[in-house]
Amino acid sequence: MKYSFLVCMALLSYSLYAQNLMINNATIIDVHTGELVEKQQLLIENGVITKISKKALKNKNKYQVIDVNGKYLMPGMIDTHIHFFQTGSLYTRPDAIDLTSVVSYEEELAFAEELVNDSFKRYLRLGITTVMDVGGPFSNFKVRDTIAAENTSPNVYVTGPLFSPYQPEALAKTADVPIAKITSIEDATALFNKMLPYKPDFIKIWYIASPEIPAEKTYPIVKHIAQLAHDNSLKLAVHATQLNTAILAVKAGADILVHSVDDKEVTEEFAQLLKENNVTYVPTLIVSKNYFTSFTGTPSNHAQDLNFANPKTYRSLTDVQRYTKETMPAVLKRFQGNTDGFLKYYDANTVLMNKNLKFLQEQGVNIATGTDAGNIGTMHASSYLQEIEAMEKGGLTSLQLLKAATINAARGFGLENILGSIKEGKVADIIILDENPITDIQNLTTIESVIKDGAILKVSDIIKETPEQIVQRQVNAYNARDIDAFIATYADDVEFFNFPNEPGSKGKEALRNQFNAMFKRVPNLYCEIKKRIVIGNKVIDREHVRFGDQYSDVVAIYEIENGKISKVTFLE
Amino acid sequence: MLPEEIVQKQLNAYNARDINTFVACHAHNAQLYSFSETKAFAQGQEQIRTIYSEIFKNSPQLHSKLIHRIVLGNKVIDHEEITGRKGIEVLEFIAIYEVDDTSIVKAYFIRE
Repeated sequence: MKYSFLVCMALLSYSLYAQNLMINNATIIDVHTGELVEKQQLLIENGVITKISKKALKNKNKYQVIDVNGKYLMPGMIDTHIHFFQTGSLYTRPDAIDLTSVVSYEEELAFAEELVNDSFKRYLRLGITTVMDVGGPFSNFKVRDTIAAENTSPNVYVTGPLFSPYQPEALAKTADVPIAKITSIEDATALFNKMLPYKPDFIKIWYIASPEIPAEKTYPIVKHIAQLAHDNSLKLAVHATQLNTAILAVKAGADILVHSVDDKEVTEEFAQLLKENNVTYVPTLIVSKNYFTSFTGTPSNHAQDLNFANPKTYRSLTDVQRYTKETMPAVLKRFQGNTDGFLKYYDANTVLMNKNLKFLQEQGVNIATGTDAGNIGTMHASSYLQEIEAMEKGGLTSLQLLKAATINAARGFGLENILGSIKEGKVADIIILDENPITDIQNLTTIESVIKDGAILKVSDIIKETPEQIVQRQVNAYNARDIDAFIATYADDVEFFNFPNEPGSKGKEALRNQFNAMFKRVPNLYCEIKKRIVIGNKVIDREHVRFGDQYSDVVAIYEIENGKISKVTFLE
Repeated sequence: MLPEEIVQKQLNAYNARDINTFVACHAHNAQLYSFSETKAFAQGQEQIRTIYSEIFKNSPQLHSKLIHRIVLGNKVIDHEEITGRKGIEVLEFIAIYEVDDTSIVKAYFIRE
């Protein structure tokens, strides 16, 4: 088998927490056909689906039994395009925008390391049981071999630094660089040989082309890297966003294109080329515009981000609002005010990317879902449904979307024998849903539990946020003026006090009425946390709130019980 | 004196275990509370003197490290970490001081 090494490595990483389970009365979504296969019994042993049967199964070994009558089972989803060395915050790509005077790159990288385990939980919570980190520092291997191996996590596939003809200066200063400058065959061989002992799951090329470095000129190096990868049974993923570069990438041997072609309409010839070479196309639609909305401090405030993104990371996307005209860092200024030109560009870009996606889908190219999460504005895990929604707007049907998220993604990385559908012999990575996502893709938000390697995880138990995270999530929802996300952070019987103990309003409904009115009335509402103290289950925030043309300063003492804000005391 | 200066003077006196200066940083009628309890655990300078002179005497290595401070109007909120107190290895707490022109009028303590 061509990719046997990858498969071996994969099965190895499943064994740690593998469990046994019997599932009765399942309605299985066949992602190949879109059919619902009803009244099925599944046996999961050591994390692998060993039997699927219409007949009742004997529980000889007394496995845990669950009945899922009325629920829908689909395979765990796969994000084929993420980067763990990037957090998604405003400070994560100093080459794109230099705000190192606000948050240094060293601080940001330390935060990225701290965030990995948190992101794992968020991926699982949202039904994403496999992620591919397509390029980052050598510490990526530690993420896979140590952090993922020792914690509840999705399956993590990684590579090391991107092979690139161009290295942004701002990312070249650390000892363990994410992007390596490769300008010769010798450079390429040296990096490849350095990476090989770490057992990369695939290889990635950042095929950047410009008038100074035309794609034709670097083609021999790309071809050489492809050869090295294939000689070692490794797939090659390539970043190539122009039609010409993408064609050259495929001719050189790319197996996966991790971005859309967005300079020209693709042709039938191009589709043919992808099919002949079994190339997977990952459209990665939303990442680019997210940079811009972060630079303007106006993220889309999608419910997935407000409810499931890491709250500290998400907060950074509105950090721009802290500044006045006078205090704003110069690099941010040009993005403020008249943004029509930028928005027009992104709209036109989206139209073209959508057109190419729909065409390639119709031509039968293997399309897989990937977010490029970790880039500025594209949150780990919570961006996934937004990418799916963008692909839906591009014209894909629910079934095509489900395939892209599961079996197509597995196939793209040579993992279709172990992942991507619910079949005997495959890894038991399964999502249990209340509603059918084929009728409406939004039903992906109705996940009841996630089975990872056969272990059943209730969604309410997967993410355990700290008191600080809960309070920050509340602040994010406040700034988004999203009443549902705001209220969701409070306990039903929450009590408010004026310091020290004068009772104020009480209960979630009173809160809803009070804030709903304000959220509607004050469009520029913005709360900046000037200082924060955390002690045990209490978070004390010094808040500076913009309210129309006025500002107010307040200290709030939040108390958290069972994951909700149960008491708030205000000092004014 | 600014509220922050008064609180800092009190903190310095605490770390110097200087009971007279410490007591003098508090108003004659100062009240000390555990946050969320309505009854003060100490009321007036004499009670404060009794409690703290005992602590100062028994804890020669006493030290309070200021981790964070928030100032809002006449209130100063200190996040303190105390070491060297007899019988307690590390004591982390928040103190909310209410200050008038010259001294601490009320203090509320929040423990973990």
